Amino acid sequence: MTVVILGILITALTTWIGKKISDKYIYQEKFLNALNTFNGELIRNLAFRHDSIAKIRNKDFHFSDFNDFVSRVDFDGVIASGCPKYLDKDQRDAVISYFSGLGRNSLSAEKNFLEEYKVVFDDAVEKLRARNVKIKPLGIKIGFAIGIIIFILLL
Amino acid sequence: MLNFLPSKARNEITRVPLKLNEVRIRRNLPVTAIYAADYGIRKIVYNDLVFSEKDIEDCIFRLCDYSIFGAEESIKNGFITSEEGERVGICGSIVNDGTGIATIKDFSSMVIRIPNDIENCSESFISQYLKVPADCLVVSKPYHGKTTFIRDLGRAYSDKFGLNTLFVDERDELSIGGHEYLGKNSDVIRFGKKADSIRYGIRSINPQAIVCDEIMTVSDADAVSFAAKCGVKIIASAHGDSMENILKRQEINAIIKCFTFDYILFLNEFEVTEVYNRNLVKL
Repeated sequence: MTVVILGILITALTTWIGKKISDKYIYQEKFLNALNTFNGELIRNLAFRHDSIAKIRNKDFHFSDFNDFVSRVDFDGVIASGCPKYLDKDQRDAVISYFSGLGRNSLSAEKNFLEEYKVVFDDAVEKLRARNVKIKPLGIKIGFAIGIIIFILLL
Repeated sequence: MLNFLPSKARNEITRVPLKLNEVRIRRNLPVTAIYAADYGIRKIVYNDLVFSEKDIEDCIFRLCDYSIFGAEESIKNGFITSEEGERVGICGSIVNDGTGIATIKDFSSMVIRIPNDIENCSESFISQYLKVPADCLVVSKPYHGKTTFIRDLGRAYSDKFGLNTLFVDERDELSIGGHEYLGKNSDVIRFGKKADSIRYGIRSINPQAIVCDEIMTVSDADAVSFAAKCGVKIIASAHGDSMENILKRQEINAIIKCFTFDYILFLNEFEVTEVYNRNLVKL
């Protein structure tokens, strides 16, 4: 009986670990998607309202990690320390490069800047989405399988 | 106050227990600040506060609320107004695009002027000369209280005379982001060019009086003259030190000669020193 309970617990644990590993990629997608939404908001803003970035960053971009990050971004350069740990180096570099250049341009140059990054972010989000369709169930499946194997070995 | 400066500079400058009037920041030179003291003005040179070009650029970036594009027109005009109403004049290299100033780059200095509001500073002028609202041009050298005076006069037109008063606030120095009380019958148009805002205001909100700071160009003068001819009372200001000198300025000469103003007042350190009537006779 003890072995069965232990086996169930181990299977649950490995499944949970598998989920957490795939969550990293889910969070990457959510973060970059929120960044893309933020960028889109800025593009729309430039078309009419011309509100400041400081005002726009207080809006909700449907991902709390990004909301926290963007509300804390210090445009004077302290961006890297605020980047979430789950971002890869390339993603982190893109985020830092984006926020380092943001807001420092004339109206027409700012529009070009945002449009260029829209292409970059659209592409990144699309790739992450495609990858996550495969990875999300895979992490859980592998974790569950490992748990079952351990369970069988225990028996 | 001075929220766009680095905290060290802000703390040093604001901890002096005197009223701050002006701060001058020049690239690679000590910061100077001018304070109002009982015995006149006091100038303090902060030898340990030295700004590099990057520091000045960062201050301007913060001043623009991290959005240079939102202050593009202001930068072209050489000044930015902070949220607290401090007017920051900027110097640097002007970039021309063939049609005029495209922008300013390589920032070399900033001059920060702290706004004043002295309630009832126009009271003695009103009680002595204004039984009914009149058209007034307030003239003084820079930093002798023009803006403060016309703000107070406009507030009096709104509250004492009950006129619907429009403040044409091109640089946000009159309303200071809505922080200043301008009277219960007042409306404000901010950041528009004076000529555009005056015509827009007359068309859209039917003002009985218009307050307009610093007539600088012929188009400003034309717009003020147009408003006066529409029957709107005008309170305006202009840089100058004497009647003789302001008459040499084309835009002011034209507006005075077309009898727009009932009174032309000269200020010296917030005090009315001379008053002329519309026939340019000293009263």
